[in-house]
Amino acid sequence: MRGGVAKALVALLLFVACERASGGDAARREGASLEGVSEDAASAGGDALRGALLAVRFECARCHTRDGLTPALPEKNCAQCHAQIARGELDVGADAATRAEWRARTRSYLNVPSLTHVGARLRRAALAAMLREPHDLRPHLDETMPRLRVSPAEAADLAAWLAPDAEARAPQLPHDAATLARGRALVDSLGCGNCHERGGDRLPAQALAVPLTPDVFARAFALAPDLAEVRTRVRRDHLVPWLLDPRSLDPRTTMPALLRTRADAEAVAAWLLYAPVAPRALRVVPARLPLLTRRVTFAEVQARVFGRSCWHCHAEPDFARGDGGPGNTGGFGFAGRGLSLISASAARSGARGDDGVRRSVLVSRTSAAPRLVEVLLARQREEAGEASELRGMPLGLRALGAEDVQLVESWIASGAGD
Amino acid sequence: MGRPAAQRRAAVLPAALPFLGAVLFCAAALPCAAVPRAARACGNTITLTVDELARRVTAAEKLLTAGNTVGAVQSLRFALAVARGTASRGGFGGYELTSDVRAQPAVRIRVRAERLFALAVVRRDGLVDRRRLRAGWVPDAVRAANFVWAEGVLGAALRDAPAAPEAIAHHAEALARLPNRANDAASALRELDRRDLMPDAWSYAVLARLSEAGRDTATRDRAAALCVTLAGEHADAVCPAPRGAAAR
Repeated sequence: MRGGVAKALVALLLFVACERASGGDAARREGASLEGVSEDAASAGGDALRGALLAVRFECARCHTRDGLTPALPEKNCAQCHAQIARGELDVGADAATRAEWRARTRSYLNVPSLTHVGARLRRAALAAMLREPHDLRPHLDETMPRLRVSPAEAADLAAWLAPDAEARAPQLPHDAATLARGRALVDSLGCGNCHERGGDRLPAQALAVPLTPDVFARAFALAPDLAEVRTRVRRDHLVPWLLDPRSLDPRTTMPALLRTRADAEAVAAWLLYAPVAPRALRVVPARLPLLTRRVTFAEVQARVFGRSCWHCHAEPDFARGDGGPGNTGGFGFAGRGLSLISASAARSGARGDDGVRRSVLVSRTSAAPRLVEVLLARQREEAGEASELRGMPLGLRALGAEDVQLVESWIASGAGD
Repeated sequence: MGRPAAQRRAAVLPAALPFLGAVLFCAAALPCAAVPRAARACGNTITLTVDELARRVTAAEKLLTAGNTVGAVQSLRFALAVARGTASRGGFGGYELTSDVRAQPAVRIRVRAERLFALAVVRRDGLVDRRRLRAGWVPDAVRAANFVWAEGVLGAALRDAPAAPEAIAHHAEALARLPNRANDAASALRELDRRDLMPDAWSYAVLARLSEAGRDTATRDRAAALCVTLAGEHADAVCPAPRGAAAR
C-alpha cells in the first residue's frame, strides 16, 4: 500500500517535472500582459510542482482524470463509481433491483471535465479563481466544483499545475458593431445554442452544422460552459485557434470544429469577448416551509435525503471499505469531521468542529436552525449568489428543495429518532 | 445358490443409476436454489461479497435498534461465521467470503459484527450462549461472565474511538450491568446527555433505569420520555415502562 502511494507520488513528480521542462518556464518568461483582464499576480506566480502535490491532497482524482494523475482508489472514485453504475457494471454484490434503482437515480458525476488539456484553453487566473470561489459554470450539469478549503497561494499553485504555460500576448480583435453582429449571426446559424447559453441569453438551437452522435452530443451538452465566462476564463491567445480546430488544443474534446475561416473565427471570438452579456437570473432562495405536524422517522429522511446525497460523504467506513467519505473520515483536503449519516444514532453523535470538540448537529447554537439545517440553507443561498463562511451542503451538488429541508427539520424537531 | 456378490452389484447398479443421478443432481442443484440474490455459487460453496456481508450486519443493527435482540443475534450468528471463515461447517450451508477473511475490509466488518454481538448480549440481559452464538436461557454465572466479556469488547471499541458518542454509550450500557460500575455508566450517559450527544433510545433507557435505582426521579422521567420519543414505534421493546417502573 505504502509502496503504491510512493510510486504514485514519484510518477506525479516526474510528470510535473516533464511538463515544466517542456516549456512551462519558457512560456512564463515570455510574460503575459493580457488585454482586457490581467492575470492575477498570485496566480501567475504559482508553483506547478507544489500544485501537483496539492492535487493529491485535495483528491482531485476523486472526480477528475488527468494524464499522469494517479486515479483514485475505487472506494474514493466518485466519477468511476457513477459511470460503472450507469453502465450497469458496478459489482458490489447488490441485487438486480438495487442496481436498477441506483442506475435510475444516478445523474451526477457522469460527465466530468478532464484536466489533461485545460491549460491549453483556460487562463491560470480563472482556474485559481474557480478553485477559491467555485460557481455554477455549466448550466446543464447538476454538480459544480465543490467549495474546498483552498488558500489563495494553494489555488495559484494548483492553477500553475493545471496551466503550466503562461498566456502569450494576443492581438486585439476588431470589435466594431458590424463584426459583433456577424459573430452573433454565425453563432446562431451554426447551432451553438444546442449546447451553450450565454448569461441570460438563450441562443437559438438551429441544426448543428456538424452532426454529433447521440453519446457525444449528450456529453457536449452536459459539459457546455456558459459562454458569458469566455471573456474571463479562456486564454485569448488560444481562443481563435480553439474555435477553428478545438481538437488541436484538446484531442478529446466534444466541441466540434464549426468555423471554416479565420475571419469567421475572429468574428465569433470578438462577439464572445466584447458583446454585452445579459446577466443570468440567479436562483431564488426558496421560502422555508413550516414544520410538519406528524412524526418523521429516520427511515423517511434517509430514503429521501441522507441516503441519496449526504451518505456519499458521510458514510460509515466499516461498510465502505474503510473510507467514510470527506465529511466523516476526511478527504478533498478536509480533516475528518466524524459525521456519519447512515443511522439516527450516528447522526445524533454529532461532528467535530475545527477545535476538535464534538458537538451535536441537531441543535440550534447560533441561529434559529439546527446546524444540519443551517448548512442545507447555506447551500440554497450559495446557489442564489449569497455564499457565506458557512459551507453549504450537499457540497458541490444542487441545493435541497424546500420540502426536503422541511423533512429534515421536522425529523429533528420530532426528536431525531428512529 | 444365488448369484455371486459381484454379479448382484453389477445388476443393481444400472437399476440404481437414475436414482443416484437424481440424488447427485439435487445435491448439486441445492446450493444454487438456496443462493441469495446477491451471492454467487462456486463449486461446493456459496460466496458472499464483503459488501453483501456488510448489508447483513447493517440489517442486524437495525433489528437491535428496534429492540429485536433475538433477531439481531440470529443475523449476527450467520454474519460472524462467514466473517470468521467458519461458515463452511456447522450448518451454515457452506458460505464463504469472496475475499480473504484477513483482508482489511472483511476484518472491519468482522470487528463491527463482534462489537454488535457484544451489544446484543448486553441488551438481551446476557441471555445468550456465546459459544454457539444463540439467544436463550443460560445460568446466572454464564450471564455474569457474558457481561464481563461484553464490557471488554465494548471497552476495546471505546479505546479505538475514545470520543465517539456511540462507543461511549454502548460501553456505558455494558458497564451498567457490572457490579459497582453503575455510577460510572450513569456519569458517562449524563455527560453525553448534557452535550446533546446521546445517540439512541437505548442510552436513555439505561439512564432511566440507573436513575430509578439512584432515586433520581426527575432524570428518570425525563430519560424515559426521551427514550419513547427516540424509539417511536419500537418504544415498547426498548424503553422502560412508564411511571418509574423498575429495571426491565
